[in-house]
Formats: sequence, structure tokens, C-alpha cells
Amino acid sequence: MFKSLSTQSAALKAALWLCVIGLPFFATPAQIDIASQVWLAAIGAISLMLLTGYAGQISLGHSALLAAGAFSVGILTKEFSAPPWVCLILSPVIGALLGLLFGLPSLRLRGLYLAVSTLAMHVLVVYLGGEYETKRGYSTGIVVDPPSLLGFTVQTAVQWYFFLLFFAALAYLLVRNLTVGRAGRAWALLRTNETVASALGIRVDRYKLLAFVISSAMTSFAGGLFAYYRGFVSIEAFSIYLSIQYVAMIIVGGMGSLVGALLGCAFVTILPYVIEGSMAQLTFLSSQAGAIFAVNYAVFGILMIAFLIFEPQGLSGLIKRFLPKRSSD
Amino acid sequence: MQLIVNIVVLTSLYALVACGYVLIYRVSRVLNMAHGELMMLGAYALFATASGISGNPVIALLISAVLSMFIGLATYQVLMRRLTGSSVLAAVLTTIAIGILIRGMVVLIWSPQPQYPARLLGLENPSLAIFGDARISMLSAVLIGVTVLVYSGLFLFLRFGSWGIRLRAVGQNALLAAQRGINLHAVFAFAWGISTFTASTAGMLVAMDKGLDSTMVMIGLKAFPAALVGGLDSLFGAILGALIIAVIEVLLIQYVDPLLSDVVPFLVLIVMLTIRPWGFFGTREQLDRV
Amino acid sequence: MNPPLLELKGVEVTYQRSIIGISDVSLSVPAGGITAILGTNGAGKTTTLRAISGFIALDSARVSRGSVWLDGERIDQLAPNEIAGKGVSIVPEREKVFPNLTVAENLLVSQSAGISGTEGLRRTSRVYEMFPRLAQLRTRLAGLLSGGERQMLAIGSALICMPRVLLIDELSLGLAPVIVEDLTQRIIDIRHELSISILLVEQSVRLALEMSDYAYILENGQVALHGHSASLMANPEIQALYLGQARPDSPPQVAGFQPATQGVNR
Repeated sequence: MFKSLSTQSAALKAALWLCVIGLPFFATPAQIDIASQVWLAAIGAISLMLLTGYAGQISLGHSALLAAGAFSVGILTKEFSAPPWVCLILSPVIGALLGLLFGLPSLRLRGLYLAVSTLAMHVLVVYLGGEYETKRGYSTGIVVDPPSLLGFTVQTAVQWYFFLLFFAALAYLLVRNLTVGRAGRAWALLRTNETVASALGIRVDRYKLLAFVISSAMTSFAGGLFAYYRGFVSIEAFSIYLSIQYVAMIIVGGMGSLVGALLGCAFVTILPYVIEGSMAQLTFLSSQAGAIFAVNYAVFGILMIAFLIFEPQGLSGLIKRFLPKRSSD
Repeated sequence: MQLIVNIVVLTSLYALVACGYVLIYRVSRVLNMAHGELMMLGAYALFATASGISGNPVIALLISAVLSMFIGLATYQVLMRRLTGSSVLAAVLTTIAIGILIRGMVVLIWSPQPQYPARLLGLENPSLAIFGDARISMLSAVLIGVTVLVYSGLFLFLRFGSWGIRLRAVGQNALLAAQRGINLHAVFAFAWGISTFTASTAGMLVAMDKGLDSTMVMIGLKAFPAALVGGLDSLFGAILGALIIAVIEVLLIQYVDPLLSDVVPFLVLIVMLTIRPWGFFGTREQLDRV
Repeated sequence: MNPPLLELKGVEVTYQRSIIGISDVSLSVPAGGITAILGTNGAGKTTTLRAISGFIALDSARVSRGSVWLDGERIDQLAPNEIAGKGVSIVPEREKVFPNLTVAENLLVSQSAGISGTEGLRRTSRVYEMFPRLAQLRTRLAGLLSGGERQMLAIGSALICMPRVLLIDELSLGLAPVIVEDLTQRIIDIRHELSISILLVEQSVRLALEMSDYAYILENGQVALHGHSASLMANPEIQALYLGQARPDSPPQVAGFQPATQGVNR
């Protein structure tokens, strides 16, 4: 994190913000769409980083939570004609409830039982989503109209870009403030040594659960946004691979840092497009075009393994090593 | 009656796959999230052997079984070994990564189409009538037999074999075992080898019975709750866990909703985590509340 | 004195990359000798033994400086099982036996894979001769043994590998004096019968100085003082600090241990 007060770092920050805000004005619609996806994914990446980097738990539940948020929007819109502001408030609530339900059994326990619990959550949500689609006749998916909030409809690519950027920034600030507060200190201690934390009177299970509930609420909110962004909700979009992609974001970016979450998120979101592009270029691989998802799987697998074995601090760790030493550190 | 036969077959399948989770967890406390994919890889090894090396069922099966053991050993030696020392978190994340890598490689090497190794081997799978009007496919009967053999072998080995006792020692206290001269890496590699071997055997039998495609991974995933319900470090528990889940699954499919088949094991898992997280026969100390 | 069998030269142990356990510790154990390491809790005694017997990756600890030598061969960067193979056995302070294995299985585990069945049986029966109580408890789970029985099993397990150096961490901790006396005698007998060298860590200073030929006193991870046990025992500072005898010029102290912060002769 850029805590240093040197003008170098401030100038860098200003330049970054300029690029971020200016992007829609010199990028193609396709690129704006990709960037928007990055901001949307950032919410999930940040929430996962909160869980993994701070509370030290693996979650395979991001796909399920995104689905829960998306389906909340779909169901509320179709069944109750609920306006977007209601849907966007309720979807994190659903996420928080799921987090509570599946976090309680596993987070009391030492170890990695959350991974197992979230796997169960995934299977259950996929089942329920599928049942809803079949029973209500939406076998091809639920169509969702663009959201209108405060009289303003978010429709064009540029509008979506800033809309999603806003929420990504909000997520970043929220987690940043959490992690420097009391909860953050508890989580940091928790991650290094649960026994010590417990001996110091920190209610370890409560803080783990808190991290998971907050993380789940954020992720479901992102799922709700996803429903409006795509205009379409279908359970097929939510495979376990989606959860693994988010895990990849954290591994590639670096598990302990918010900046890492952003780096990883951008990398993982953009990479499939790069793969697709290269496969079109390399003609000998074009026969595999039908199996592009398999290429993605293989590349992600290798990427994650490489980072876990050789560079556990991820991209943010790599960058830290190559930055010149600051005198204030 | 048919229901009981179905239950026994499903129990055997889950038990055979679950013992792999137990073996690795027991020695190293690692949840191998790639177990289902390794199982599938072993089954594809059979397909590859059958199409490339030998059309004889017995030879193909033997070669593939040995191949799958090497796959397990290699997975430890090349990848997981480098993580002994990092946190269990990193190790489990690595198994997740290995899993997704295998899924990709399998489709790239063999295509996403379902394969039918039984046809390649000219193996027929007649439906046998037993106990009146209940039927069981030959391969399912073989599966039951294999599960019994494997478990008997493992029990005897762990109880009485000198390496089995060493394996148990490592599971109880890795540091002390090392101080007493046991090569931890050798024991871990061995656990991974046997684990993949047993799961792949199950995979091969299922592949010959019903065909081979990526849905096989789901079987591997569903066997995990069986291991947990029984107690992640108890082989005997794995059998019990498999039985419980098989009973509930078969009954619910029959009387409630066939689509619940994938969900049931995980619901049982959540219930178990809530009321008795160390399973029926697992060691309690590992999991106790902080 | 015989040439040193085991030597530590300027050893530093670092935990988790930043915490220093012991620093610049040098000591030597002569062949056939009994050497003691003394010091208060946290002085670094166990860490010193662990530096010799080896760390596994899970410990997040390593010998960051200096070296450990066994009979002229450097052993500090080896894995614990390799070090055991070279003839170093440890009786740890806490988890010293496998609780869910029987006594017989515990002894079996300690036998290196290479030895033949008959040799294994011979060594096991020697342990049973040394500790007849263990022979009676052959099929008992080690977790159910009493403290003294467990210590016997731990020592027996360590000896089965026919080590050249035996490291003992807290021989007497938690054991009744009668048992301690018995064990002490056996250790001394073992030293003669099997001609092994012994390095022991002890909280009970009196016991340690009585048993050993030479002793090192650790303080805050460093060697504060060392010398022949007999002369250390006679040293009035030591007597005052560790053996509970009052200094002639100070008010009555509480008998027993004093923290080393009062300073020791260097």
C-alpha cells in the first residue's frame, strides 16, 4: 500500500487516477466493457482478499454468492416488480444470510473447513437456482432491465464504467477502513496465530464469522450489479470455475494486500481475452478453439501453481521487490 | 431389494474414493481438493492405455492402475513437496489449482466428448440378477469386490505392516517421526500414490460401467462428505460415512427428487459440521474450537 | 578429555525469519561424556537441542549462522531423519511418544528401515531388558502410560537407533523424585554400556551438575557460563542463584531458582 508521503508516490497516484477516469474517453467500447468487468470483479476480489488475506480462510463460495445476488435481483424483479434500489439493498442481505448460515458451522473450527462449507453452499445454490429456472419457466435465463436509480438510468457503456468504478472504489475504501480499525487488528493477529489471539481474549470465531459475513454481503452485492450489467441471469454462468477464478485473483495479486487484489483482478479478468486473441493468432491452436475453456483452465491452473510455489506474495510482492527502497520505510 | 443393491454399490463407490482423502489428510492434514480430478485422470489413463497400448482388459487395467499410482507420486514429488513447510492454506490452494489444471489438460488431450473404454476393451457389462428381481451390473459387482479388497488391504497394512505403522506415526506427530528417522517426504509421496491409485480404480470401473467424461469429478467431490462424516482421519469412518450418504441419497432420489442427488452429500456435510465436526470416528483434538 | 564428538560453533537459530532463538552458541560434547545445558525457561535450551536434531519445514526455524558438527561431519542443514540416521537421537520434552501406537509399535517405528528383522528383535529385547516395565506394557497404548513409563519409552525409542549422541530434553520434568533417581542411574549405566555421548537439558540444576561432567549455562539465548560440573557446583554465585543457598551478604532469598538477570560470573 502506498503509505509513503514522498511526492513520487503522490504523483504516481494522481497519474493512475487520471488514467482510470480518463479511460472511457480514449478507449474502444470493447475495451471499456473489459475495464467495467474489471471494476465489477474488483468488488469480489476485494471481498475475497478480506477473507483470505486477513482472516486466513479459503472460500470457494464466490460463485454461489454472486449467483445469490444475481438471482435476488432476478427474482425480486420478476416476482415482485421490485425497483432496483430495493434489489440492490436486499442482495447483500441475502449474501450476509448465506454467509451466516454456512460460516457458522465451519468457522468455529480451526483449519480450512470454510472451503468445504462453501463448496456445499455452491452446490446448494446451484441446485436452487436451477430449480427456480425450471419451475418458473426461465430455462434460458431471466432477463433484467437496466437499473434506474434516482431517476437516472444506467445504460451506456460509459455510464456503466463509472457506475461500477464508483462501487469498486467504495468497496476498496470500506475494506481499507475495516482493516485499520479494531476488526482489522484482530484479523491480522488471527491470521498469524489463532492461539495467541484467543489467549488475548479475542473472540476468534466471531471475527472470522464477521469477515465472512461482510465478504459475503459484498460479493452478493456485486452479483446484483452483475445481473443489471449483463441484463440477464442464468445459473449456467455460475460454475465452480468462477469461484476458482476469484481465488486465482488473490493468488496472482498477492494474498495480503488490497492493491494485490486489484492487480490480480485486472490480470485474471483480462487474461481470458488475451488467450482468446492469441489462439486466433496461432493457427495451429485454432483447432482447439472449441475447447477454449479448457485452455483457460490449464493456463489458470499453471499460473496459480507457479505463483503459489515461486511467488507466494503475488504480483504485489514482485512489485515491492523492484521498487526502489523508500527512506521512510 | 433393488434399493439395497443400489445403496451397497453407491456406498462402495464413495468409500473407495473417500479413502484417498483420508490417507492424505491423515498424514499431512491437507485437504486434497484435486482428488476428483486425479480420479478422472486415472480413468483417462485407462482410456489411453486401452486405445494405445493394449486392448486386453486385464493388462490395460493393470498398466493404468500402476500409471495412476505414479501420477499420485509425481503430483507430490513435483508439486506438493515444495509446499511442505508453507501453511496448509497454501497447500490446499495448490490442490485446487492442480485440479483445474487437470480438468483443462484432460479436455485438451482427449477432447470433451465422452469416452467408452469398455468398448475399446471389448468388455461386456451384463446385468446380473441377484436376490430375486434385483439387478446389478457386473462392473458394479466388481466395484464392491475391489472396495472390500482395498479396505482389507489398507486395514491390515496400517495395523500390522511396518510401513503402515510408520504412516500412522507420521499422522500422529510428523516432527517426532522425522526425529525417529522416518523420511517424511517418502511417506507423503506414498500416501499420495495410494490415494490416487484407489480413486483411479474407482474411476476406471465407473468409466467402464457408464462412460467417461468430466462429470466424473463430481463423484470425487461427493465422496468428500463421506470422508468427513466418518472422520477425516479414519478409514473405518469413511466406510460408515459412505454408507450414511449413500442411504440418504438413494432414498431421496427414489422418493423425493432425482435432482437432489448432487446436493444431498453436501447437506449431510453441513449438518455434520454443525453437530459433530470431527465426524464419527475422527480425532477430536485437531478441530477443537479455538 | 576425549576429542569432541558433537560440536556447535557459533550457532544462531532464527524463528520465522525474524525472531532469534539462540545466538553465537558454541559447545562441545566429548565422546562418551555427559554434558548438561542449564538455564531458565526461555533461555534457549530446547532450541539448542533442536538445532542439533534438526528442524522440519513446519517449524519455520533454521540454523541461520554457525554450524553443527558430528564427528567431523557437518549436519546442521540436514533433515531430521537424515541426522537421526547419522546417529543423533533425541528424547523431546513434550510430545515424546506416539500416543495412539502401542509401546511395541512405538519401538518398531524407531527402527530404521534398513535393519533386518532379527537385528530389530535383538535391539527391542535389549530395550526391554533395560526397562522391564516396558516389556510388561508392550501392548498398552503409549498415550495411556504414566509420566515415568512414557519417559522410559521415549528413552528406549531413542536408543533403539543405536545413536552415538543422545539428546535429552528435561529428563526430570514432571516426574516423581524416585523415578527420576531411577532414570538417572540408568542413563549413567547406558553411557557406560553403550558408550554413547549424552547432552542433556535440565531445569534441576543440582541434578544436572551431579549427573554431568561438563555444563553450559544459557541466558537469553547465549552461553553465559560453562565449566566442569564439579567446579560449577562449588561456585558460590551458582550456589546462590541456582542452588538456593543464600549469599553471605544479601537478605534471605527464596530457595530454588532465581532468574539470571542478577548477573553471573563470566
